[in-house]
Amino acid sequence: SKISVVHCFYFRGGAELLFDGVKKHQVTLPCQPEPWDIRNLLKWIKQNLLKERPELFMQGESVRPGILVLINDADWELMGELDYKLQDQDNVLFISTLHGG
Amino acid sequence: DRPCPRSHPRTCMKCGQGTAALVIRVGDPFCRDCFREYFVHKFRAMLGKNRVIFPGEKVLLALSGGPASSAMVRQVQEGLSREAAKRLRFVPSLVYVEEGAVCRQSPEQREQTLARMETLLQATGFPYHVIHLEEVLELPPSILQPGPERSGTSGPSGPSYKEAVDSFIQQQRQEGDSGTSLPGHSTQDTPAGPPATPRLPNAAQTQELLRIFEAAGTATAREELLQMLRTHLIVQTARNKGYTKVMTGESLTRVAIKLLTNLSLGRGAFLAVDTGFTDQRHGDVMVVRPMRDYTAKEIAFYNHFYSIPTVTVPPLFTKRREKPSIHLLTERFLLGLQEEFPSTISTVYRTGEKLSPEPAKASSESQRCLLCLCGLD
Repeated sequence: SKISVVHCFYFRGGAELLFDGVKKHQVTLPCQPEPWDIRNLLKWIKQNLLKERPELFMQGESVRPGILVLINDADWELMGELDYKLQDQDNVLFISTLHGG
Repeated sequence: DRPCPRSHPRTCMKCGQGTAALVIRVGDPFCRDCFREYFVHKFRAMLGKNRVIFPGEKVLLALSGGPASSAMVRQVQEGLSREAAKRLRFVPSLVYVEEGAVCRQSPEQREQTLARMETLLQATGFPYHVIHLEEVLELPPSILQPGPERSGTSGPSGPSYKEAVDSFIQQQRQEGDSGTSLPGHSTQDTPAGPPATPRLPNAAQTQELLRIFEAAGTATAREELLQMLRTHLIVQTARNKGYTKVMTGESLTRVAIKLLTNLSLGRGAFLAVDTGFTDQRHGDVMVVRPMRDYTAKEIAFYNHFYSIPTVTVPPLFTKRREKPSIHLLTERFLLGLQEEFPSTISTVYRTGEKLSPEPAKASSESQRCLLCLCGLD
């Protein structure tokens, strides 16, 4: 059976500026046949949360270089990055380390 | 399930027990505790190895509100509070340069940023100074020259580092040091109690500042102008208040980007002063970069784990349809390359480490650039 999952996304380090300045988003992802991995999550974020300039957050199917991704306070590199399958109540945190000029 | 392409083992490589919280360098998983130890140790090792900060010396920490300088202040706090034998012994104060005018912030937004920074500064307990970028309009011409090198602090005429530390420890014992860790507040500096509400500069000054910045023809020139003016303000503050050292928070990532950016700007001859651990071009005030061995990722994770407060501000303004600055392009280039080749940034950094500043020469004879104080080449 299909389960909807609730996640908190946080944006920090300037990344929140792309999301209307809102740092914390609590969402329920809709049920769908495809699994909710980070790859699909990013697509969803781009379509539903990103208010402007998607190229400042994403590059291709991943996040822009310089944006860190933490899943439940751990480095996504430990979890399989884009392939990580989201679990109910997972927190995903995006921290931008970019400066601009 | 096919194997995850970039998935690292989940056990800490250092202690072999803890669950890994992050991967540093290329593929080294660390648990939170080992990472903290690594992070804190690196700061003390950096200062200990270089031995340029003398006991009791007044050091001005430049705080931008950003992650690196905030982490730096935390390391100073940690270092000052350790048990007597190993603790840091200098006397810190903080300086914050408010740049809202050139970030196109409204007066209300600037006040808000100031209030948040004020809270942050006060919470440290260190004396602090808040200055506005508009104050460059009041800088004396003396800022365009190096100040006289002070005798008695280091070098052949003063005590060696070891002698200075030994005599400091002895003095403390004689004075019956009770082991209080935080230095007393100098009466010249702003005390860390509730101060008057910071006032913004008047509109005319802000306009004049903006006029100067708008006159810069490119985003690159504007960026360089900002960095130069900010440095002048900080150095002048240090000079006015008797600080002999300034600490700035450039991270490894920032240093690598600056290295390549400055090469592109034609500053190849000055890479060592622009990015090295010490920068002595100002003469009486030495700039020190203790965060230059920390990657932006390490700093971001440390700040997250230990709730280091930061204040994010928008970047320097850009004009519509203007080409991006060399700074921005270099950042994009390096970070992009780093994705596929994870040793890119550290390689640039380590190559930069091999550069050393030119040996000190008779500075009265050599001609210097008024703006950056480096020798004309």
